[in-house]
Amino acid sequence: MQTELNYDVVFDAQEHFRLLLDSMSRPGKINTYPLVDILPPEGITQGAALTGFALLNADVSHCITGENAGEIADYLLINTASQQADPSVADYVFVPEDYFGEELYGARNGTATYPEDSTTLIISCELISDKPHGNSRKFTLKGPGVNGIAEVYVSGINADLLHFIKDSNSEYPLGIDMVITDRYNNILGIPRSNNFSFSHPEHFNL
Amino acid sequence: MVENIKFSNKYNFAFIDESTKKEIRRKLLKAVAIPGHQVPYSSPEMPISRGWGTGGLHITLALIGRSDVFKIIDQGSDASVNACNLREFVNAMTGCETTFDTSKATLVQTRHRITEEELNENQIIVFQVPLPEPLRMVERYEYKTLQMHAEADYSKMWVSLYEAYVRYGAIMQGSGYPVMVNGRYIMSPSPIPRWDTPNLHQAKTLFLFGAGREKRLYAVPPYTDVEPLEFEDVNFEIEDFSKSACYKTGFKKAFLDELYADDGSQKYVISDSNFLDKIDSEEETHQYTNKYIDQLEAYDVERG
Repeated sequence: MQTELNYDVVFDAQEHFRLLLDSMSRPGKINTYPLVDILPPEGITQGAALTGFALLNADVSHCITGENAGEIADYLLINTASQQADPSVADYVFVPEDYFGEELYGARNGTATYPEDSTTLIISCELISDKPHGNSRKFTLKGPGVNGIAEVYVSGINADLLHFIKDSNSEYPLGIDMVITDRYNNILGIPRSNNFSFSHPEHFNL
Repeated sequence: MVENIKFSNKYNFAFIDESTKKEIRRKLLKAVAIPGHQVPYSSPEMPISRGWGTGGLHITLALIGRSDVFKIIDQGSDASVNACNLREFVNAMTGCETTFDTSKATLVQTRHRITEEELNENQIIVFQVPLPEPLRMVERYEYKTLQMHAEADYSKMWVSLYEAYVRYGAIMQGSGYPVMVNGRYIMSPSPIPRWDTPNLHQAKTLFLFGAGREKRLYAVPPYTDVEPLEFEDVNFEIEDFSKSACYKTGFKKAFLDELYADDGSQKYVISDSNFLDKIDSEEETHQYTNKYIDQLEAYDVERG
């Protein structure tokens, strides 16, 4: 494995961070990373990998849940110098499509004096869209950054995971922030300040 | 040779090294996720002293990209010393286009004012903050203010506002009026005049605050509730310019600076220099509206 040569650590990182910041400050707005010629290993989407590249370095740790964790962790280590850590310690936890595991219960949601000292989940899903599509859940978002109510449709995201995040965020300002990425480089930010609800997956006739 | 590549440019793009930029970026995302909460950050060395706008500069440099159009104001003016020097610095370190025109900028840095023209969804405004801790005037110890924020225990703050009212018949805070953000944190909006404070409420723009000397950054996302602290019977008020008008344009519905001449005579001028130019040349502008300005519209606020 070698470092990605087509990724520009200065300008790509800057461009992607601006999109991340926009997504985080406007929950429900779907941003899209421009295509970058990188080849992440199986089990992590390009969107999730680019989010990692934009934020990780040797100062923070990450944790890969799900399959092929070893190879993905090596990939992130080579490209960002970020070390893998336990889910209860890690600053960034990568969650694959439609996944929830016991280990996530340990994820940090900050302390009363330093609520920012918490985990950010980088969650992969199948598709984020403003239109209903096959097996998608309807997210209704309310809170800072949303003008009234925002609606967005996400498929391939686990209900237990979302319940767990809602639980973690119940004692605001403690909580866990989410960056959701899909297979097509779309990103959606849902910070802890957002009061979101989600529906069962529905089969829409397209 | 490696050295030739590494040292072919004197400075990294946007001055700060990539590793430190990433740290500031991570903290910014957390700050946005917890509106009004002060997040400690590294506050790296800059070629200007801490306390001279480094906090704003850190955020600007962590955000800025090649396609950004940068504007910087100091007390509303594009031409003041602090603004000019920082503009030149950012331009030299990034090669970004700079502008005076508020509507053309994508990234605005400011000291002690919000632009008179309303900022839109595609713009970000960065504040240079001298004192990020609104509770400092009632509590001197950092560990105690941290505790007070953690427990949302703001009784001391309310008592101080009450005491000001009892002593002087009004809440005396002229600039940097404390606000409640998203119903949870009391925040110092940096020393912006009261005129600007209501413009933070449910705005279209992302507001980012950087305090370099105090090593804190915080944020107000767009469409967030920002309410000035007030009592049921003693309400927040903005400056009343009904008895004064800009001497150049006769305009009243803007924040005015007071100018004194050598003979002691006094006149007023619009504080936002770009807005003044636009009014002067009768260009179209789109000002902020809020309920406080609407209240003032009872008097004739247009020209003359």
